[in-house]
Parts: sequence; structure tokens; C-alpha cells
Amino acid sequence: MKSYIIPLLLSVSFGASACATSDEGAVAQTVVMASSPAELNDLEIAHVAYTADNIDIRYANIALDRSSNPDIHAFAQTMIRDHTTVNKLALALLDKLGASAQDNFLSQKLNADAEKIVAKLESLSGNKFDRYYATNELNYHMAVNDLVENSFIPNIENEEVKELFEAGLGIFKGHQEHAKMMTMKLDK
Amino acid sequence: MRHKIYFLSLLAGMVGIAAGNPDCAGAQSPHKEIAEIRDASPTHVGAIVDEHNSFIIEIYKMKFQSKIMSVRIGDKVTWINRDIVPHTATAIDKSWDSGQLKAGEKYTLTITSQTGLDYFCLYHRQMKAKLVLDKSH
Repeated sequence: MKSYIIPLLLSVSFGASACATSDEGAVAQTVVMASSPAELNDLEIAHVAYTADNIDIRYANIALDRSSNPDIHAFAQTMIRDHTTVNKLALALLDKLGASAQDNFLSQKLNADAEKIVAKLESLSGNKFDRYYATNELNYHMAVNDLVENSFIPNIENEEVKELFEAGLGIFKGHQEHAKMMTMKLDK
Repeated sequence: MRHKIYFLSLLAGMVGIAAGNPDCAGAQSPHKEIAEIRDASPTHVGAIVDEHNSFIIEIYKMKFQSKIMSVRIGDKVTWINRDIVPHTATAIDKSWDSGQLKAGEKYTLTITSQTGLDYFCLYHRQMKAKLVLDKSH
């Protein structure tokens, strides 16, 4: 049941983040059914987390550059601060375990999809940029949180890695709430 | 304050009596006598101690763990960050601000009549809480 839903949800979510601003048209997404996120091992999961964090940091830097909205700036700074912190802790844990994160199909898919979002962000300005950025942040956090909660945490074997992901999930759910507040304020 | 004056008067009296009494001279140090007076007095234990309270609010799992806290003027409130990411505790009216609290760091605020009561985390604006000023004595 889970193995096809998560990739589908991911693809739909990434597609939806472009569809939400209806004036700009949808970005095509491919559905990858090759492997299941639930089948990734701890080191691949760590790699996905690191990749997802870096993508959000990248989006945030674009927002700091292109937006003049103070709420967007405050949110973007928090994304940089929090995702950098989680990355540092993840790397330190991997060091301690004497391991490195392993590249995998899902990290590659996240990066490929992110390129399209980045291209879109860099084509927008003003209020259109703000709305697109905020909506994408909401959708992105929803998709990644679902992945972490349902596909990763139940399947992580190492207790310390699991604890870090559980702490991370709490933070990212907070980000999701914050993104929701931000989108609602922009809609007024 | 009244308690302090009563206690000090009592103390002065006792020390005076002890000093004036040839049987007491050199028998006990004044410090031991003070301790005995304090321990023996059931209603004045800790009378020298500040009557204000200190509270701790943990910042944990992206929440101020006490959403509402009742405080009096002169009380101290300490926020401790138990999360892995930095937070702040910042008055909505900007009358006080913890600044960045990294994991494990803390900030103590002493309550005055001017203390802003509603506060939030500057970094995570969905995190909100408040203090309630109790003006009774």
C-alpha cells in the first residue's frame, strides 16, 4: 500500500506547488515507481534528509535575494538557521557512527524536482514571487514531513538516527504551520 | 520588609543579651545563635529570603511548554531552550527580548508593572504564549 502512494504523493505535491498559483501554469512532474522510500537504508535516508535540507536552504537564499517582504525574510532566515542546524547534527552523528550518507534514487529525484522550482522562483518577482515561494514551502514541508513520518521513521534501524529524525520532524511540522500562516497572510 | 525588621530586632536583642551576659561570653559564636534562632522560629523560617517566586518555562518541541503563566511583580521567569534549534522569547510589544537562545541556553526576566505579557518566538511565529499579571498580595 505505502510503496506507490509516497512517490505519487511526492510527485503530486511538487506538481501542486506550481499549480497553486494558477496564473503561471503547471510544471510537469514524472512519477517514479522504481523503488520505494520505505526500502531505503539508514544511510540513504540520512542522505535524503541532508538533500531535502539543502534544497530548502537554497530556496530560502533565493527568497532573501528576490523578496522584499519582511515575513518572507523572517521565514527564510529560520529555514536557513534550522536546516543548517539539523544538517550539522546529522553530519556529526554520521561521523560518530563512522559512516557517510549514501546517494540514492530519492535524493536524485528531489534534486531534479528542485531544479524546476528554482527556475520558476528565479523567473518571478514581487508579490507573485512571494506567493509562489510561500505556497511551495507549505507543499514542500507537507510532502517531506509525510515521507519522514510514514516512510522513514518506522524503518530506521539505528536508535540515534531515529531520535534525530523524530526531533527533525517536530521542527519541520512547526515550519509547516509557520508556512501556512505565511500563505494565509499573503492571501489577504 | 516587615518580617526583615522583626527578625533583625529579634536578632539584635538576642545578640545584645548574649553579649551582655557573662555566662554567654565566648560560650557560642553569634553565627550559631542566629542559626538556632532561625531554625527555632516556625513562622519565620526563611524570613530573610526574598518573597518573590522564580519560574521556569521550557521551550520544547516547538512550544512554550507553559502557554499561560501567572506571575507577580518582582517574580523571575526563566526560559530554557530544550530544542535542538535556536528560539527566542520576545514580547509582542518588544518590551523584552531574550535574543537568540541556542540549544540549552536560558534567559531570565524580572517582572515589573511595564512587562509586556504576550510573547512569541521571533524565529517561529506560530509559537505564542502569555504571562498573566497577578496583582494580589
